[in-house]
Amino acid sequence: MSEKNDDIQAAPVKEAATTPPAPVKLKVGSSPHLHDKDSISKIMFWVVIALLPGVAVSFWYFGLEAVRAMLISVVACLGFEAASLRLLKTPGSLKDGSALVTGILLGMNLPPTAPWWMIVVGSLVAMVIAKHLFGGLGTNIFNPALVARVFLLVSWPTHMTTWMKPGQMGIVAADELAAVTGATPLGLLKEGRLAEMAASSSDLFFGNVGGSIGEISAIALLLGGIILLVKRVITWEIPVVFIATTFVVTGLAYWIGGPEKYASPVFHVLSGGLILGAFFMATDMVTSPITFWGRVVFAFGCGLLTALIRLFGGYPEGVSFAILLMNASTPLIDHLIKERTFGTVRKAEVAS
Amino acid sequence: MAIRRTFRGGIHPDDHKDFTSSLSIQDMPAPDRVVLPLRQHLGAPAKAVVQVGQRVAVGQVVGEATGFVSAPVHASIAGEVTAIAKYRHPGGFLAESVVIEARDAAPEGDESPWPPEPFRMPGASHDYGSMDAEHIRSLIRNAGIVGMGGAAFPTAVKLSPPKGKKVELLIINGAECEPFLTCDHRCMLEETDKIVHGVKILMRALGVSSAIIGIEDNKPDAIAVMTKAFAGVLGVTVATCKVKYPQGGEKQLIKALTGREVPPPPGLPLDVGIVVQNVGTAARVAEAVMDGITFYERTITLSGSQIAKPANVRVRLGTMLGDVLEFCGGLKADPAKVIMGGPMMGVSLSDLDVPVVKGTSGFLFFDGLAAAELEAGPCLRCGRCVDICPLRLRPAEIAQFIEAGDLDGAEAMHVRECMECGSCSYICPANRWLVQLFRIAKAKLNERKK
Repeated sequence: MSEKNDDIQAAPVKEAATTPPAPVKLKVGSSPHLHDKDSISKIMFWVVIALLPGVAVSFWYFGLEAVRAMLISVVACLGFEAASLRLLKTPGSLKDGSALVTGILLGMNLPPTAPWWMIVVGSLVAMVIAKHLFGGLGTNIFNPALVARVFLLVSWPTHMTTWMKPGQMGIVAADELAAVTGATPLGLLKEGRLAEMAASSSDLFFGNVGGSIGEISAIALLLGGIILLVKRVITWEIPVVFIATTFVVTGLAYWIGGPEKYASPVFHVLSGGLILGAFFMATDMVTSPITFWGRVVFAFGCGLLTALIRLFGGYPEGVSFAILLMNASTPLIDHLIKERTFGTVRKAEVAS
Repeated sequence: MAIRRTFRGGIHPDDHKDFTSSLSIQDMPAPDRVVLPLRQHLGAPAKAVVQVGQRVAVGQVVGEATGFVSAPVHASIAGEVTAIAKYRHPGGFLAESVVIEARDAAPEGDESPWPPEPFRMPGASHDYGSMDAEHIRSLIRNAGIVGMGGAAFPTAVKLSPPKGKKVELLIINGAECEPFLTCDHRCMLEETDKIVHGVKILMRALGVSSAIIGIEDNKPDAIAVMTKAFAGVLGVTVATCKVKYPQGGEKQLIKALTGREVPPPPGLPLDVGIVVQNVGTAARVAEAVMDGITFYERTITLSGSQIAKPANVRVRLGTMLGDVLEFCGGLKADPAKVIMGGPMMGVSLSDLDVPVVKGTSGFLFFDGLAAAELEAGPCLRCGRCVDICPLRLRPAEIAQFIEAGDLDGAEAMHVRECMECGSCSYICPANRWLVQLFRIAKAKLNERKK
């Protein structure tokens, strides 16, 4: 045996003893060598597509005012994104579409009458403070558009709560605006003017009510939400659990407290920013939990807080605050809700 | 359709199997020269037992196993050993290899006929029903059979459960979940009888009375053929699995077929009373135990966009890839990336001048587009990698620890449990390195342990 071993060692070491059949340069890399066709920019593209029905309805009802506000918001967000990428060297790219999404979402969260400087400040807060100072795409803790909305709401409450009544068929001259401003359905509710609420469920559904640009038509937003679900951009658990929780909690108040004091759960689901928030803001991947059960808890928290703020809080609308509070809880949720890994048993099960 | 079983998680890449799934296995004639690495299996490399200049017969041992987890290597052509030296292994490294070149006649002064009779192991018999388990195991060990699904773990070791471990079920893996590969599919259609015998032999070796054959439902013809072939065999059922990657992973197949979860490493299927063998392995087992044939040829799939004629070919181990290509009609255009195995877990070759080894399930030839490096973006925390991880790990978070240089953090996040199926990297919309980082981290952790 030992002799044979010596023979092996004495043999010359040859590399590539024969010439390759075709001397080609080959790429090497660690597997997998296949990749799914989806990408960040495709995800953002579908979010934009899904937002379009809601944007279209608001343009229909609010006319050029809404177009103006939306344009300013989008252009300002893209501008601040470009500047931040350049100056702060944070990861991301204009091409990934995330700034466009934030721009549209911020636009949808504004009253159509918002002054241009306020929209620009909002864009600055969204892109620079809420997104890039936190490290850019993927590392922001709070949804940028929502931070901006809440910032504007507490800074200039009058501007942010001066709602325009939907003008019929588009163009509304600026001097007419004062005449047609009115409260949102939720605002009326908070002021105890339940009886004045003219909005029927069908008005809420189709968007013929006062409100910010993007929150008025439940059906247009639902259509967008379905697009997101079908294209697998979002998963069902956040919108479904969010809306269902709000429905149940406001429903309890309605049935226990009585309809003279509280609005119906259907009204709560269809009014304000709930559907916009549940499908487009709470589902923001960056600021929601990473596991299925984490997302369920997150959405439950969003729904509960929304209902509590609307029912008992000082503000008429609670969706933004609820989502931001749950954004802040996301790291905690991810830390606490851990699935057991494959093949392991929970400690409790081992003991029993 | 019957119940379709599966596991939670996993991905659905296009299977690209129609290039070759309907093509019968072609037999490639023995080449003039083979390079047989002594390391074609997991475990200790074999040790050469022939000398340069020695004549060998087909099937004769040229390298013997050097431990319990090891496997012998056999001559795949008759001829003369012309070198024992280091050659490029498809795995990328240089491996001690035995080179055999065909000869026209016996050496001068030797009157024995040429070529010599192929070597057959003594003790093999069609009457395996009367063999004891140890005899079957020794035939399988001496035949050099290893798992043919790609990992190339010595089969006899899997059939030797340590004392105290009770095996109650044999699972035969016909899932073939890797895209492009069809060698197991063809094997089920064309070597059905061998598989039936092989399964019976494996059941006898393990002392189990039941076996399940798991096949994905993109191979309805194989399901039909196998169901019919096993109709009269007591204790064996053929189960249909939903197409999903990585269903052919042992742990996933066991979960899909039985609901049991194999504990994390060093846990083995044995810990839940199960042994898994590939369909191709079962066919080789039948050849070895019934006819004494050692493991020196296998079926491989040649596919991908750059090959002129995709094919399923039965080749001698040690055949150089160039010779296989020549036999099959060559390449349409220069490939930019060549993969041995499937595109999800296979290795990319740096050099086409490599031999077919025991773990080669195929070679795939891709163009520049498929080989293009995708630019990685920032993690969006979308959670898709978490949703699809078949082992319920959190790839995105583990990657963050590794990128921050925190190996302990990665270990606490169970990076060691990763089986490197690559589903996370496949699904990531930001094209991030995930499984690739885990491989690095696992290697570093192992190094640190030493």
